[in-house]
Amino acid sequence: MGIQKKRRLAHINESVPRTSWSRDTSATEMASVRFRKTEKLLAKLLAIKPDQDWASRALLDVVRCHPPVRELSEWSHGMELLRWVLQRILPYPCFLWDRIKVAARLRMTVQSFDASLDSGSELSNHLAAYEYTGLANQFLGRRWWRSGVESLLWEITDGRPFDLASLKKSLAERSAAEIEFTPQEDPLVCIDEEYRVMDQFFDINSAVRLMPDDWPSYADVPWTPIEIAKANPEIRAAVLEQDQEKLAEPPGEIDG
Amino acid sequence: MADLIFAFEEILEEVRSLSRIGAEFLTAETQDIVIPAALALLESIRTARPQNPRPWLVTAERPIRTINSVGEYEFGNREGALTVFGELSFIWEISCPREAGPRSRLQKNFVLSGKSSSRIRIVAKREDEEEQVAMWRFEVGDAASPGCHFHTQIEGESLEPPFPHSLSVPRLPSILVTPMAALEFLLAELFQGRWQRHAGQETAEMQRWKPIQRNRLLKLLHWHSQHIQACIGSPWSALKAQKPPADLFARVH
Repeated sequence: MGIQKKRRLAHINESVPRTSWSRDTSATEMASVRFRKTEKLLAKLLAIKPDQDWASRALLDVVRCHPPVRELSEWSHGMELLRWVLQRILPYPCFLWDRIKVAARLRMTVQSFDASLDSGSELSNHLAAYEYTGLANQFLGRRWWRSGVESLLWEITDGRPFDLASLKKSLAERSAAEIEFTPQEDPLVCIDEEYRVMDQFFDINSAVRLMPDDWPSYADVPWTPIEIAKANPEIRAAVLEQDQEKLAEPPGEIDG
Repeated sequence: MADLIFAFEEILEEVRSLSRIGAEFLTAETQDIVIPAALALLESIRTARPQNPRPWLVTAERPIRTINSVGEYEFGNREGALTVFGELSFIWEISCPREAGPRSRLQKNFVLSGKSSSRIRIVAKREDEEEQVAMWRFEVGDAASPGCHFHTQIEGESLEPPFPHSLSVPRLPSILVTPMAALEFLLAELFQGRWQRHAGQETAEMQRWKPIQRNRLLKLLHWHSQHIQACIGSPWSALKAQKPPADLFARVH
């Protein structure tokens, strides 16, 4: 780990509000009250703004990713939450999306999405409201709330967030520069042979699904380009059984 | 009769659990693009809480699609002559009733307050050609529909017989209400033996799917049974005319 990252981690560690972890030892307190308190604390640490319409949906998404809520009631172990965010959430596409995943959802190329963010357009101002500002934000780059982005798309497309024409039209109206949309109707975010997220999208006919060891069940299934899977035995071994036939060579290419 | 009430969480849960249970019978596109989009759309409706009906849908252009069934629609030692796959598209027009409590609380229920149709197509594959060989729709009626309230209609989209668009009958009685119940029906038809073995397993997903379906079917059958027992005249005619109470599926027994 680089010195910069170590410093940032140390800073994050210091910023975990230990005084908030009061041990709840009251035997008479209702379990539901304790649960609500834990949820409130979780929302606070992850900076879910309670006044937002999508806040409860975001919290539900978080809870589905198995946060270490039991440890939250122990005074010393906000660190468990930090570890969970760093190791089990930020590296995977789940309730937080990185810029590549957001670009794919908006059907924009990554370059066009980056340019849009830098331009101070209406779109980038809109997205700012959905940026993750909680524990360890920025540690692996910027992240946005999935539920927030979906909520924004619902709003700007007048309830047709999966209608491509409506989506493109509403985004174009809110962008200062001309948007370059992806050639793929459903762009897939893929990982390469080093399990790094690629900033080039693929379509379903040119990619296969993987089942790597230790990939969390709550995260979106990872994809990789067929060419990468074919060229790397380790990756090939992780291809989902149902997609193995995509890796078969066409009969014409077999010698003899 | 008012519009039927459903719990958001129950409908979301049945989509999630059936997509996992049926994973090996569904195409990759269905599993990773179509179903996640359907879930996200329903979650967005839940967040936006529209008072007027909005469509929750999977379009016919981008349907939920099964893998090929190579004659597996026959059971036992018999093998069907066709290689087929199935498609499900649906539209449910739904709205959110005002609920008590703070706005920060998730919307609990929605009402089915408009169109409700789950359309199934079976398509035969012959070399490079695809041909629709069957199509029917599971539908839920409205206050003005002649019954039976939960019904199935065959074809009805073409101008030509049989079952041309101009003929709105028969409305065959059905006990399948939601799009996912329709999907399970389709899987069970196309993969007779394999689905029966698969669905008999007590997996974690099945433990989530089973109570939802069991409770809904029991409520529906109990409602049918009550009206048949209390009827005057023809039981079928009485059942055909009945409209369910709004809370039929939301009621806690």
